[in-house]
Amino acid sequence: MGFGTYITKRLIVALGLLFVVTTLNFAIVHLAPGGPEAVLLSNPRLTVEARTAIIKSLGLDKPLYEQYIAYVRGMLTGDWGTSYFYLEPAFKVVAGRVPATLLLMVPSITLTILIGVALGILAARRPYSLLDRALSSVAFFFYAMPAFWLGFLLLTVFSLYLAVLPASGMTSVTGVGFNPIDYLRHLLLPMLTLTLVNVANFSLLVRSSLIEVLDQNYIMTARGKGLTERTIFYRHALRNGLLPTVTMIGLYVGFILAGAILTETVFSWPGLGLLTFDSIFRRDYPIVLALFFIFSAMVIVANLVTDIVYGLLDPRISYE
Amino acid sequence: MEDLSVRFYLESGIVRAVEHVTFNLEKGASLGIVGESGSGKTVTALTIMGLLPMPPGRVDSGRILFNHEDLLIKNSDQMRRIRGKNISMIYQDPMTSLNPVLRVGFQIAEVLMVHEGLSARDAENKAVELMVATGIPEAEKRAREYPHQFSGGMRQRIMIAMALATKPDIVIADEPTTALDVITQAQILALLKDLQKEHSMAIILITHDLGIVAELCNEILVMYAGHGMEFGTAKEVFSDPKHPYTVGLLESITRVDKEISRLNSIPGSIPDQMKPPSGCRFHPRCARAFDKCALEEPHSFSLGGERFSKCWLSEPTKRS
Amino acid sequence: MSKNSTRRLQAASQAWRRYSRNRGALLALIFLIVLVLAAAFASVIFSGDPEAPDLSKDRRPPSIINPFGTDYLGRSQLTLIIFGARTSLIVAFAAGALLAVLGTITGLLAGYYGGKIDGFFMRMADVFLTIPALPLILLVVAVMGPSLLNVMLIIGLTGWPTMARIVRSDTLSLMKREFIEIEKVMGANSRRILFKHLLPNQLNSIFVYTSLSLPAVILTEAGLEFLGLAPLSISWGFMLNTSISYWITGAWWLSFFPGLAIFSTSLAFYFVSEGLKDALNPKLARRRESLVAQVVAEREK
Repeated sequence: MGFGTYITKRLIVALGLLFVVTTLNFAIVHLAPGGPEAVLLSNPRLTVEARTAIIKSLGLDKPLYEQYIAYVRGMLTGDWGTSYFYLEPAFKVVAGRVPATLLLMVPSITLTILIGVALGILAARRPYSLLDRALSSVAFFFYAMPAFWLGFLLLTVFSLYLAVLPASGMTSVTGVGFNPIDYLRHLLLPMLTLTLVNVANFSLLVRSSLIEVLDQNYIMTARGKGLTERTIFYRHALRNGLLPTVTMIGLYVGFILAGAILTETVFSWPGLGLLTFDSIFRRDYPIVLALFFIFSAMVIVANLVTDIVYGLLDPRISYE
Repeated sequence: MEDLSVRFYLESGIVRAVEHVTFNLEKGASLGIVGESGSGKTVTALTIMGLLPMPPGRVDSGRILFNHEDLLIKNSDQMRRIRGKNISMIYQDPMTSLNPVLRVGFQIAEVLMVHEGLSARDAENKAVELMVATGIPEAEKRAREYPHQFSGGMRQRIMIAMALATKPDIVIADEPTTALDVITQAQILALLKDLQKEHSMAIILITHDLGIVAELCNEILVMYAGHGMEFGTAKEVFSDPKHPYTVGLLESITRVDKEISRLNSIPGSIPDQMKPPSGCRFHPRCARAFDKCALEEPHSFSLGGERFSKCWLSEPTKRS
Repeated sequence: MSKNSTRRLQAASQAWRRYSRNRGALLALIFLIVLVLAAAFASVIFSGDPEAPDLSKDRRPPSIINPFGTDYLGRSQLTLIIFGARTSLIVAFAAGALLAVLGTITGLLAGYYGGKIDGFFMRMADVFLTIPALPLILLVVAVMGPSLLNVMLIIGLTGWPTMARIVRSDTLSLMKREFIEIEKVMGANSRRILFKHLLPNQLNSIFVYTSLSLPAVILTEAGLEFLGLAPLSISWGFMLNTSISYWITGAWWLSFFPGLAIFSTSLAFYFVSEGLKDALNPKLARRRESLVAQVVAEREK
C-alpha cells in the first residue's frame, strides 16, 4: 500500500483507540459500585448549583445513550469534569502537569534508545562474548526490579548518605526563575531510575533483532560479494535490524510512562505521576479519569509517531 | 577440486556433507552439479566461495585449486578479495537474497566499488549498464528502486548482474531458477547462456533438474549423499549413463515424446546424513546392487579421460 | 492407558532432571516453595497479631530480635513480610491463571477458526496492548474499589493478549501438521480437535509462558499497592507506600526489605520459568516468543 494509505490507516486506528478509551472511561464510571453519582458527584464540597450543572451537562437523568453522547461531547470540548480537590476543571489541572512529566520522560526515552541501541549493537557484533552474557544477566536483573524500589535505593544512597543530590521536587525551594543546573540535579535520580529499569531489556531486543537479521539470506549475498564483516554489519544488517526497533520504541513509551508514575511518586516530581498518586489518595475521581485518558492519549500518539517514522524509514512502505 | 571432504561436527553427530569429491573445471566451461536436496551440492558451492560456517563445518580433506592456488589455505582477507571478484555466486531464492532497504542499483554498484575501486557515480552508471545487459527494462529509472518493487524473475536478473559485474572467472549458480515459473526459467537460462558465451566465464550450475543441465552445461557431476557418483560430458552422461543413480534420474524425467505407462521414481529416500548406509551409499535404493555394494565403498573408476563412475558395476573387470 | 501414564511419568522425570541441572532455577524453586510454606503457615509460626502496633519499638533498625527492623508502628517487618507474601502470591497465581485461561481460549479459537473470529480477537488484543496497562488498572481499581477480586481480575484481564498471541501462533503451526489434516478428513468435530489435539500439545508452552508472565504480575500488583490501592492491609507494595513519608528520617529498612521481597520473588519466578522453558522445550531453538519476531510479523500484516 502506498505511504499515504498507510498513514491514513494508522491515523484512523489512533483515533479509534482514543474513542475506545473514552468509551472505557464511560463504562467504568457506570459500572462502579454506586454508579456515576458515586464517581462524579460524591465530592462533599460540591455546591448544589455545581451538582445540578454537572447533572445537566452529563445528562445523568437521561437514558444511557444520551449520557454517552453527552460524555463524548464533553471530552471533545475539553470538559473533563471538575476536580474535587482543586475545584478547577480537570482538564486544566491535568494539562498543567504534562510539561513536568514530559521533562522527565523525554530525556529518559532518549537515553534508553541511545544507550540501548549502542549496547545492542555491541552485543550483536560479538554474540555470546563476555559483554553479551553480562548484558543478558543485567537485563533480567532489571526486568524483575520494581522501579519504585530502585528509586528508593538510589535516593537513600545519593540523597541521604552521600547528600550529593536533592531528594525531591523539581527545583529547590528557593528556585526563582529557571536555573538549569538546579533542574538537572533534581532530574538526575528520577531519570536514572526510569532509564536503568528499561535500558537493559531494550538493548537485548535490539540485539536479538540484529542477530535475526544476520541470519537472513541477503546477508549471505553480501558476504558473497566479498564485503568486509564491518561493512556487512553496518551497511546491510543495521538498517534492517533497527526497523523493528522503531516499533518497539512505541511500546517502551508505554513502559516508561508506567514507570514514570511510580518514579514521580518516589521523588515527589510534580508531574502526572505524582498527581495520580495524590488523586487516588484523595479519591479525586474526575482527575483519575482524566489522567487515564491523558496517559492513553500519550501512548497512542507516541505509537502513531513511531508508526509514521517507521513508514518513512522502511522503503517497502514509503515506496509502494 | 580435489578430494574435497566437508563435515559438520554437531552435538548430535557428524554430518558428512561432502565426501572426497573431485572434478575439474576448465576456463569458460560449464559444469552442472546434479543431485537431490541433501546431496551436498550447495555445501560444495559454499566451500568454494569460503562461505561455509566454519565452527560446525570443517574441511577434512582436499584442495580447491584456482589459478594454481589452493583456496582452502587462504585466510579470510584473501578469500574476501576473490569472492565477488573472481568467483561469484547467484543464490537460490531471489525473493530473500536481496537487501530490502538498499536500492537495487547500489547493491550492484557495491561490488564494483569494493573490488574495482570505482567511484560511486561510475559504479552506479556501470550498474545501469549491467542491468540493461541482463534484460531489465528502463534500467536507468529502475536502478533507484528497491527489491520489493521487482518481480522474482527481475530480481534474479539483478542478482545475475551483481554476480557478473566484475567479469568473474567462475560463476556459481545455485538453483537459479527453482523459485521461478517455467517461462521465466527459460528466459533466465537463455540469459545465462548468452552471458557466458559473451564473457567466456566458467559456470557451475547447481540443480536437481536435469532438464536445465541439458540446456546449459557441457559437463555433469552427479552427486548423491555427499559423493560424486558420476562425471562426464553432458553427451556422455545423457546418452550412456554408467551409474545406476544417474540412470534412475534420467528415467524419472517425464518425457513428452515417449509414451509412459507409469511415473518412474527412484524408490526409497535419501539416507540419514549422520548414519549413512554401509558400503555404497546408494545401494539400498539401487536396482542393480549386489553383495559387494553393501560391504565396501566403491572407488571412482575411470572410464576414459575425466569420465568416472563410483560404482562397482563400473569396475574394470566387470566391463565387457 | 497405563502405557500412557508410564510414558508421561518418564517424560516428567526427564524434564525434572533437565530442570535441576540449572542451579539458578533450582535455588529459585526452593526459595518459592519456602516462601509459599511460610506464607501459608505464617499464623502458626508467628504467634500473635502481626498488625498489632507497639509504639515503644517504632522504627528500630534491623537487629537480632527484628532481623528486618520495625516499621513506623513498631511491628516486626519480618513478620509483616511473611504475611504480606500471601497477597502477592495469591494475586500472582490467580491473575496468572486468569490470563492463561483467557489467553489460551482466545488463542485457540483465533488460530483454529481463523477469519472473522481471528480478526476480532486480534483487534481486541491490539487494543489491550496499546492502552497502557498500569493507568487502566489504576483507574479500575481506584473506582471499583481495591478488593482482592478486583485486583486479580484486572491484572488478569490486561495480561491475556500476549498469551493469546503465542497460543494462536502455536495453534496455527500445529494445524499445519499432518495429524490434524487426518482428523479433519475423518470428520472429527471441532471440539475434539481442539481439546484432544491442539490443546494438549501446547500445555507445556502455556505453562512456561504463564510463569514467564508472573514477574510482571507481581511488579504490577506491587505498584498498585505502592500507589495506595492495596487489597489487603499487609502487603509488600503497601509497606513501601507508608515508607515514603518516613524515608527522610533515615529509616532505610522501611523501604529496603519490602522492596527486596518484591524483587526476590519476582526474580525467583523469572528463574523458575526460564528453567521450565529449558526443561520442557529442550529442542526449541529461538522461539517466536521474541517480541521482535512478533513485531516483525505484525508489520507483514
